[in-house]
Amino acid sequence: MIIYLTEIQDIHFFFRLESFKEIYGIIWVFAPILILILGITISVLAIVWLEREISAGIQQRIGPEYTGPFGVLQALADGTKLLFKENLIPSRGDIRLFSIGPSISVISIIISYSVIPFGYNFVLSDLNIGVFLWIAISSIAPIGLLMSGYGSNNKYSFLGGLRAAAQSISYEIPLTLCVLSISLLSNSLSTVDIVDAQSKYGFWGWNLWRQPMGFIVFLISSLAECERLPFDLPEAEEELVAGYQTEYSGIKFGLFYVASYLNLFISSLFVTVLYFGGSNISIPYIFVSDFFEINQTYGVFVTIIGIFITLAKTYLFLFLSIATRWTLPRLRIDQLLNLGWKFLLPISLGNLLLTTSSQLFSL
Amino acid sequence: FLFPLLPIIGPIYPKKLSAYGCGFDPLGDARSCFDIRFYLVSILFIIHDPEVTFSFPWAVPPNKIDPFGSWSMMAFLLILTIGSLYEWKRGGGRTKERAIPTLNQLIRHGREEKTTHRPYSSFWDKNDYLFKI
Repeated sequence: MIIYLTEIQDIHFFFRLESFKEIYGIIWVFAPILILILGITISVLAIVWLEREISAGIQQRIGPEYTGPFGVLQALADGTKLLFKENLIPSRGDIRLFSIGPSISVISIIISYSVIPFGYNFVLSDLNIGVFLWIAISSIAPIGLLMSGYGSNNKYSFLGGLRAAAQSISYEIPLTLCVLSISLLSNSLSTVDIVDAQSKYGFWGWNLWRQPMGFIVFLISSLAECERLPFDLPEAEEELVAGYQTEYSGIKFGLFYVASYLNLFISSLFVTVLYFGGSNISIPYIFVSDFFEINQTYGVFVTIIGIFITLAKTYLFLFLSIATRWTLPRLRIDQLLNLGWKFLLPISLGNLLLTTSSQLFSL
Repeated sequence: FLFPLLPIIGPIYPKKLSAYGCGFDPLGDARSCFDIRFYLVSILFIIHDPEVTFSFPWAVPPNKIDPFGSWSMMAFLLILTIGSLYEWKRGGGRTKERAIPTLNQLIRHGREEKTTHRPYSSFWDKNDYLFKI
């Protein structure tokens, strides 16, 4: 009798242990994903605020200043307002396409964040095809835009959707060829490996110096991919009202709004990762490792420094994109397509061949 | 749980769901036709996409190949480059012939369609359809 009780108690105890182990494992799987999404959301709010403040500065007027300190909560207030707006669906539109379009755009962009190394080996999933995943996913977002434009049954929306698709696929080829050159240099498609390859020689090891033409082409192409001025033809407020977004209201419009800033942020992150050394903190002619001897013992400190450096570089490019928006006029569609097909494509292809030649000679 | 109450709370106005800027029923379908150049851009993309797709396994280390493999890829890219130059020469990407219509032009064109009289016939004959790239 005593033996039986002991066995029963042991069985219950181990069963409880196994249950806790499973719960713990599940929590540990979801925790980093949720943290990443939370960070992305906060970044989008920051970018919206940055855009308003920078545009106000460029145009010599006052930006948001009442909601929260320095108006930092303005984006949050705007988002809340969008949640409470009525969700209209055009009577003669295609309801399914109309509803799914914004979701496809947002979801496809958020997935790309899983391969960004925010610090040294600090990445949600270190895929050996990380960059390739981003390129594949960035091909999906225009499908959402085309569905939205088509589903609205509005001439402005339809034309905006067509322009969005044409623009995106036109600039995807130069963008991909630039990434290909980076992969040739780094011998890998993994974002972590690309960052590591740039840290060998410190500051001068960045791909910015080894791929100057690729860097410029990549900047222009990513700006076009994000549909930022001077490449905002799919929206083109003076011509198409708001392009594919014309018929949208409430949270669906909010999703498009968020998707554009998510896309901008991830493009800036990839410029940082591919060309500016990622979390590499090297400064020319200063031996940073001597100042940070503590690095080797405090891992959290290193990670925080890496995140800070990565975001600092990223916000440099965000600033460039935002300043570009308020200083340059819009291109025509023929100029846009000519730039993509007749200039950026040959240049990026030549850059790739040049990289191949140098690799062959080094072999 | 308030959704079942919505029809009671607020009446549904049909005009609210009409297309942008319309005070009347829209004429026809907005997706009737579009400029062929959008389709042409897609064709160009289809040509260059396999170029990029085949280049990735060639560039990545597990498939790092000897000079023979590299020169094979050079030949492949050369063929595609010749095709691109041919397309360029043939004017497939040429889009300078027509400027983008502004909103005013679209409105004017919409008005012109109502009447048979065209005061600027020399201009409109060159732009005979509504949608332009």
